[in-house]
Amino acid sequence: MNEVWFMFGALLLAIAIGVPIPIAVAIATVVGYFLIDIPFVAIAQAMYTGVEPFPLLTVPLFVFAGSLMERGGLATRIVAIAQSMIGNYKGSLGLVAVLGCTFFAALSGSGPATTAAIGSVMIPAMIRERYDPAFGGAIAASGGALGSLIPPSNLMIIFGIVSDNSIPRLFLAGVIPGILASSLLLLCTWLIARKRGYGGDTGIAFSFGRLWDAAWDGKWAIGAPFVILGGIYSGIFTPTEAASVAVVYAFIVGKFIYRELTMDDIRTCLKTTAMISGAVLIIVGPAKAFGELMSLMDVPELVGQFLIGFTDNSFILLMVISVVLIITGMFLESIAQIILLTPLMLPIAVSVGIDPIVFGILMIIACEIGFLTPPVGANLFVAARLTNLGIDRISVAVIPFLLTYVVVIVLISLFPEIVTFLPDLVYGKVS
Amino acid sequence: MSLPARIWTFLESRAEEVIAGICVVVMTVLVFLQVVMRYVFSAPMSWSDEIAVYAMLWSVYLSTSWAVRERAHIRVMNLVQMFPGKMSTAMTMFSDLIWFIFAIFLTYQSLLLHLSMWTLPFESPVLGIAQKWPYLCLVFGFGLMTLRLIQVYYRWIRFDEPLMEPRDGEVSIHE
Repeated sequence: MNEVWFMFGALLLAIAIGVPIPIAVAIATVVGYFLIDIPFVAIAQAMYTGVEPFPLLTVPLFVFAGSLMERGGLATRIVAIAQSMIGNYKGSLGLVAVLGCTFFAALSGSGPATTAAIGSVMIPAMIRERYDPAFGGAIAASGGALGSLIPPSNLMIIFGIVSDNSIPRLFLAGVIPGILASSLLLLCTWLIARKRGYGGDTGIAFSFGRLWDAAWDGKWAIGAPFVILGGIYSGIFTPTEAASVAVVYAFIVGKFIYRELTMDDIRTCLKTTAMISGAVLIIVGPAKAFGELMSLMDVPELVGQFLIGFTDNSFILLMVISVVLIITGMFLESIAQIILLTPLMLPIAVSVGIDPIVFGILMIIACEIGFLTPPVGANLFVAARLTNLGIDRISVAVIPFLLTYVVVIVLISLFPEIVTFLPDLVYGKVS
Repeated sequence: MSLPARIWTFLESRAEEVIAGICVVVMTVLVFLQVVMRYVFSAPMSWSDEIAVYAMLWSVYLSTSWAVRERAHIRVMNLVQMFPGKMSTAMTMFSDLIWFIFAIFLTYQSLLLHLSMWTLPFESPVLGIAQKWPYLCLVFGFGLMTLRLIQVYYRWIRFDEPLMEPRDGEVSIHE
């Protein structure tokens, strides 16, 4: 048991003094190897085998596709459609931003990328209508978080790989919670914007003619989710293949139809993709080694006994798990959180009869809350860059929106059918 | 610029970036080709998946080294930044020193793993590729990471480039 404390101590100390998180996890693992006499070469082995699973390719491919869609003019078309659907009244631009994020989330698998794509169009527009920039940034950050909940989703792919769950099933499970979260965000935006009297004095009112024009102009953007998700659910291709199709689709639409992609843009998109591989996916190997060592030391059983000693009521247990995930999510990068904590906590949830898919969705929403809280909230950083404000201003403005995600977590814990309904309907119940 | 100088600048500033980018293109093309071959030519390929995974491994481990030069690695600097200027620089240097030592350690372990595959050959089940070659990505990744860490400090002293924040603001780094 002492070995475990040494490992966690090494991990926390290394993270606290500023060692990059993947390296800190690797150091903690090596400390564990040293204490229980495992040859150090196992860390190199795990670094390789961690990045070896074929489905992991889906993540960089969706990142690449998302960034091509952002630069290829698909994001602006989506905003135009959202704008024509909402019309013009108090708070309408805020609603457009949330709706734009919701639509873009169905093209993109990443929260921060959705924030960047929609925020870069909508934040300046909101500021022009005299919205508080911090409020605009908060909307883009919280709406962008939908990118990980509404399929496709990189975090769900990682969870599917780690927990050995079907990725298409997880994608379907995210649909209703995604729509629920989006509706609550819309409500929250509308209430705040109306109270503060933002906007509504310029722009054009709703008309079906305008909606039709925007939809027709944006038909290639609307088509993307049909190709990506339609292809997966009709069984034409696997999620990984769907991601490569998404890249090719985004490239053709951006380059030859909208003609907005330049060679420079494509190079930047490749850079973004490589950067995410190098700075984020690198965690997969060390985290896998760390998780295996934890299992070897029976940590999941210990945590399980501790939690079940509290309660065996599945609602309370889900809430306890959610609180733990939200707190750890504030300090860990989302992919690291999923790989490190799933093997620790999923067995506990399953032992009291909680569907692993429900656990997965809660894990992902907890990661989204992590996107929105300092110190490592990725969406906050993107929104701060887009608004030229400090993280502190946006992290205060984002609190009401963050609470809507907490409400979604409570609702799912109360009624897990919100998550399981669609996958059970399509694929049948898992016994 | 003369040719050797140009090659040097390329290696010095963007070698991993370019190779990692090419790997991403290779991944996309191979996975997409699989779909095309299956549906258009009804001739699924058995080799493309394996090669695509090798491309991913190389792109991950080469860009992890490049991310050092760009100072794009994800680290929690909140505690460090709570200290006054000189102290926080010193703490950053200390965590970089630990990182540097550990990078040498990882390079060494990766090299041991690679060398062990010369004596105990290990081939992939589908294509029969000797695994010592793809495993080299670790040796290159961590070896270059070590060199890039030295370079960051060299450029900090010589050209006053940033030590504590990302060098290039345009690329977003988180998932």
